[in-house]
Amino acid sequence: MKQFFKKHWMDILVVCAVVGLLVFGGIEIGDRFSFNKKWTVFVRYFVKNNGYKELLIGMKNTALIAVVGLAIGIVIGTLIAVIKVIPPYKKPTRYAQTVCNVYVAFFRGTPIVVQLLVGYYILLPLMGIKLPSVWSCVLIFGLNSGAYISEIMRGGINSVDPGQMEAARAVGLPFPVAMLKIVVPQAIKNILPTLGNEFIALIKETAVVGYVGAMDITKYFQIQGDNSYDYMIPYLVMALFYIIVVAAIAALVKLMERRLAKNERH
Amino acid sequence: MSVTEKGKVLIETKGLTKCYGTLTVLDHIDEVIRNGEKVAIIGPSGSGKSTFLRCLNCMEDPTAGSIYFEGVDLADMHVNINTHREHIGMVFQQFNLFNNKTVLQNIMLAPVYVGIRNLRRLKWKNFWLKLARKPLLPVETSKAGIVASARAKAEELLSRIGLSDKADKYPSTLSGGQKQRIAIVRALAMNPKVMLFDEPTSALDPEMVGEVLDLIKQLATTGMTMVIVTHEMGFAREVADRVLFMEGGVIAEQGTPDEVFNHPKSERLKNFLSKVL
Repeated sequence: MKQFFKKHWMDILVVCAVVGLLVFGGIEIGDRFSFNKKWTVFVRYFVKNNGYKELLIGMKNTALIAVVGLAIGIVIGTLIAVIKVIPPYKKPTRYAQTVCNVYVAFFRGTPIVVQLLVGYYILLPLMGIKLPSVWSCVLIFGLNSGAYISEIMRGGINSVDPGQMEAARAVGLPFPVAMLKIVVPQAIKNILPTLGNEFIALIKETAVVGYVGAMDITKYFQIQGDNSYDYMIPYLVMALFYIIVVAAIAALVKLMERRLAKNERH
Repeated sequence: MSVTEKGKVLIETKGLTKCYGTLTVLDHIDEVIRNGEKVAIIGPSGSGKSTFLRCLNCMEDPTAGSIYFEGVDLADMHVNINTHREHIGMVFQQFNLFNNKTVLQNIMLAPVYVGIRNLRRLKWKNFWLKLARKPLLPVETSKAGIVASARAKAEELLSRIGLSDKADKYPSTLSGGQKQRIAIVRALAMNPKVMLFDEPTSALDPEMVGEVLDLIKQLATTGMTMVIVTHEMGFAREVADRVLFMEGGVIAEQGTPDEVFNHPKSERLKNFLSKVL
């Protein structure tokens, strides 16, 4: 328990600060911004008008976009990273590497909001693909995180001893098989902490999906604020929500890391 | 490990040249390695002996020249190098066991992969034969059978080197000598026609050198063709049929161990031997 406090004192501090603001904030400002009144309004919209059901949908969408986006990102990122580390002897390899470079430059060079707007309102309709907004967000977030993960993964692959690749090739495995069975698993182990950070970043980035009309945690609290003409409590609760979710995932990542480290020693 | 056709040319290099930028590491080497022969390569560091060995299975692509392995030019980019590397075992200075696999998986990985690939090719061929209404080729094994036989072979090899109890351990828990012996066994699991040893004992503690050398000697008595780059002169003298002395990217002198170690002709070899012996 003592260790828990030692490790998470920062998180606890932030949570306490937000809760403190929620409880005492209104009182200080005076009667016009009465906290009690605001709280009553919030609870009315949240509980009595079935707001929590909408919130659940929002949470589900946030989780969906982050998790599936990360999965797509890992697949695309691994693919790009592997293509980038192929020795460029042959022409098709060089073409593929150029394509990958352009892809990464595009997705790292534009803001995610711009990608969402361009993708959802222009590219997907142009291509004749009709997707619900949540799934187009999943797609675009996947493509976006693929660009970032490819760089992380490339670092991971470079951190694996080149002798591993040599040994795999020497027993007769072709390059892709050696990569997939020997190098990439070791690379993923090396980059797991960074991937955890990427996942957390992805969760926070999903807050902008409201731009294309997808319902997520942020969008839900925005709507509640709009409906009740009061933004203070919904927005503070929203911040609290994100902190709790992110802290939980950070703890999970740490646990997984320790498991893998244990696996290596014995 | 067949001793058939002893004396037949197994590997032949013609004008083998390797350059790194402007630095020429190997300079037009013509050399023949015959079936059943044990060749030791000695020489000062930087003389290109490791590069020569690594060129033999195209770990390093030669800049010019050709390497004929059973009559096929490995330096040719159109040759599928992987199917030939199956028959060339290689042992590295740094062991290079797969860290994410257990010892048993390390040994089984390549045989299982190759077996399943051959099975898939056979089935694919049968598919076309079926379309052409021709008689099908017999399919004798299954995936499970391939895995089982690979496992049996791996366990037998492990028991031969006395490391059966380490089968499910990860390489990070083993000592250097154990790792290198397992690396040798991993190469043997593919039934190679020739084994290349790239300074197999250089990264070992002195007390572990013996166990690895014993295994290589034991292997030599089975008639395996071997090419060994080594700094262990006593070992080279004992095991090799032929010793190559490399210097400055060329084979400066060669002959039987007796000729090379006891009656060196060139001044450079005399100089080298006086330093290492």
